[in-house]
Amino acid sequence: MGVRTLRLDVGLLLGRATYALLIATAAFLLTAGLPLARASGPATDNALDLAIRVNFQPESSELVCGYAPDFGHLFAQQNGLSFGWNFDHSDAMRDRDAGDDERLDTLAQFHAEGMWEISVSNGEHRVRASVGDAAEASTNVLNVEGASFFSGEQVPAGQFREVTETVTVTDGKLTLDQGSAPDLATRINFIDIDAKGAPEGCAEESDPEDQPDTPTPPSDPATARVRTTFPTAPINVNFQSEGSPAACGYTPDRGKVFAKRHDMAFGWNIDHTTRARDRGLRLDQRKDTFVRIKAGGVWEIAVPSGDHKVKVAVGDTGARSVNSIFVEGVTVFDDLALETNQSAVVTLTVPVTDGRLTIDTGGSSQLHTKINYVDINSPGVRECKDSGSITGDISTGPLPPRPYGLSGLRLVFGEHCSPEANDGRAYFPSAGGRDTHGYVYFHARLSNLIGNKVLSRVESRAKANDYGVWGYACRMKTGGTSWSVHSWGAAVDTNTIHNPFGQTHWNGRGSNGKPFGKFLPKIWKGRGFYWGLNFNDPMHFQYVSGY
Amino acid sequence: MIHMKGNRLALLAGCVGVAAGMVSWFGGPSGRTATVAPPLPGQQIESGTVRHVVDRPGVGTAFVADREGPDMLSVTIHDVTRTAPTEGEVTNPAISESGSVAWAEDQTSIKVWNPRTDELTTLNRPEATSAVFSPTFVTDNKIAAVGQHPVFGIPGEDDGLNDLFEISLDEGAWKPLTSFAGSATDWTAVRTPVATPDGDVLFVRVHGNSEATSEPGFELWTTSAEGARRLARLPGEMYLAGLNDDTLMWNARNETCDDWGLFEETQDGLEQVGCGAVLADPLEGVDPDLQHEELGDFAAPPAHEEGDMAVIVGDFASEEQAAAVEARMQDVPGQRVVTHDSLPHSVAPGAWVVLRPVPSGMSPTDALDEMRKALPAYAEMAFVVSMGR
Repeated sequence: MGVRTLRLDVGLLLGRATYALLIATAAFLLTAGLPLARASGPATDNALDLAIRVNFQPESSELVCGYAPDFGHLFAQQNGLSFGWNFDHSDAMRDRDAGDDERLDTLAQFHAEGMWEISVSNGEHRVRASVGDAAEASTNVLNVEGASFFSGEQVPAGQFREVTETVTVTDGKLTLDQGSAPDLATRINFIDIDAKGAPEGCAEESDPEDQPDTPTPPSDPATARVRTTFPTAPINVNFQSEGSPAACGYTPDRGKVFAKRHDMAFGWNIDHTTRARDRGLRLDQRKDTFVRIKAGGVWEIAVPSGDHKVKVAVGDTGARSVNSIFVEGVTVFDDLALETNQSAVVTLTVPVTDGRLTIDTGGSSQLHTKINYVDINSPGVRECKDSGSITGDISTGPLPPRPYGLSGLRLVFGEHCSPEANDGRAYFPSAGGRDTHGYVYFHARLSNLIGNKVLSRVESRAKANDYGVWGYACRMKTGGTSWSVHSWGAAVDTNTIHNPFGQTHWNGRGSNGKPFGKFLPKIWKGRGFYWGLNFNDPMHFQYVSGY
Repeated sequence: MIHMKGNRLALLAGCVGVAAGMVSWFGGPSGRTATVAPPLPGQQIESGTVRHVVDRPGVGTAFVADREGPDMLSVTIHDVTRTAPTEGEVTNPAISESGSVAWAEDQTSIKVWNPRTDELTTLNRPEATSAVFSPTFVTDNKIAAVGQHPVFGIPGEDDGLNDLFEISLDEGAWKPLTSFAGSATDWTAVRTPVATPDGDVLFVRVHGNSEATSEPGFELWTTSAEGARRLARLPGEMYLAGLNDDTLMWNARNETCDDWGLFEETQDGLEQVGCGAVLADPLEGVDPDLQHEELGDFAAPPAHEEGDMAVIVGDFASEEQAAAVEARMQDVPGQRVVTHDSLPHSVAPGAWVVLRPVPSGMSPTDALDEMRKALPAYAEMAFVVSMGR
């Protein structure tokens, strides 16, 4: 089907109603997910991150993911970089504990004649610097390699100012100073050099199973990456598109960048989500799905160093493919041409020395490598459990699998704050307070799932439940016009005291103070609930995803 | 005063005083040309799901591309398009007369960015609040935004008590413009604030009781020199969508749009001018941040099985009270008075309930409805429970 374009010429001659209608139509199109094309083309961000990021902070402060900490020490090699002050500034580092962004909450106050430097290559560098103080008003002077970033900038307490400019370095060092400003005048929060977007690996996908009960900072923040949990063999990964059913027994890779997910750490060096496909032509999902590898695309998975037996499959059930695959530099396929619905599989054993198994196209000029799946140390596909399917009228009758998005939520549970939304009831441990049972209310359609399947497991170790457990609540989500999933009675919060909103890990401490690990999350997740830890709300479990 | 007129919402003229020439999505520079593709509801642009579109006539436009991880904020000021320096979840951008852009980031701070100088200002949330969002420029250097007060016992992702605050970029201290009251169950949310040329701020107050199963109340409010005051009760869920000259614009649910309808306030009421979310969240957009967990990885949820479910009526303080109620019910097979011993997952110790197993072939909700119709006095005491087999 061809793509039509609608041209809107908006001018003075249009009446207001007509104009409003046109603009409203445009608003609808935008809302439906379509850009006002030329005026607002989306930016792409596929460049590799070669950034340097430094946060100025006391040694006692929490480290910031992706940032090398500067503690006010003299210029020296630290965290793989060379940076520091012309004289000791460790007495001028502050942490205000007044805000949410640790980069802004911490700062260094320049002493008179203070100068900070970092070794960089000669040439142009794009520098972003932030000044301000969460607790006090400040007057800031900041010169970066002689360029004036701030010249007496007065910043009220709790506010911060940033400037990003390109400067030229000719002596191998980027230099920051505050000119002749008085002692402790300038408050610098952090500096980014040649940085674009957020630090790699810090917006990690939070697979809750791997989150420790107590968070630990990365050992080397300058090169901070996702903490890796080495998987135990066998590993089966299928390359497939977002939303397509998982291949039976396989962990899906949906083309996302390297991150921790599904008890493992794997993914691409650049985003491949738009290259992931599900043809829908074959029952064998492993062969029916693939990721077409971009130029320079590299896929990696964290594995223990040593020999690994690797099976790689390529091909496309819906089109031709020309495939080049290298595993740890070893040629597997070299421009192998396959017809539609043809696939090829090769198994080899390769040594891994850096903790990551690497698959790429070896710099091939061909852009038609379509990788289906990878088995590592695997004798074959593991035993599968079908996840069920939605059939027939789902407004009544058996509870269908977890719905997706607001439309799915409404389809299964009706309107928010409806009388049915709290027609289910269960008597939960610690719902009425620590070690005190109480009633939890939820949608009637979840009565068996929560009141029986979940609760019977929770009761087996009732002390794992700690104050409090909350169900139905007619409320709005913070800040938007969307309604809380609690408004449908389709969400339950548990162990709320130790797992507040905003916390990025699960605290498994029970009502007796003892650790129960992921006992509760595994129960809820195992019964189809989506864990709020994915959006930093570890107490929250909801029977819908995508909303 | 508000009344329904045909299938339209209608506001009688005079209930809202709005001066002319105000910012809104609906104004626009003359001669602008935009090329758009045909509507494909649910489709996402390559860079994310579009939400929160704003326009300041003669100055520029901005919209959020909601993406997994940090969002993109596309800003076009005086025909120059740039991407704002965002680092987190971005909501509700606003544009000032001089072309600065403000937005809420992660609901923890308000960012103010000058695209010409690249200067970025971060405004921490108001003291003693737990979130800040929905900024709007009152003047070039004065911003109003909504702050969320922490309320104990409320799930953190949900709103409990909001107030509108104002801050001067020169002075740097948030000042409250409203002082709503709330409790653990009674809540107030402030939504879609829109500044008027007079320096007042119009907004929608939504209020309700978290334990109730009824539609919360919606009201139009304004700030003024004399303090905040309610202008009108609204007939249902609707949010401000900006101003078009002297005309107030609204988003309200609309079946023909299958999304938010876009309404213009006229002397005869609200007149629909289109479809689509403006300041409201789009109804069908899926949050890209909530797709991390793969859909196919969880175990199949167990369907309820016939014989597993029951309707209970209770709690009663004594067996006699429960039995008296049971006597008024039409008998179903297995109906009886039980306690915690029989239904430990549904009944507290010391309480008695009437247990009515759901008959074979009947849905639990139908069984519940049937019971409620027969004995409406006990409707609020009736629940669907699992019998735990």
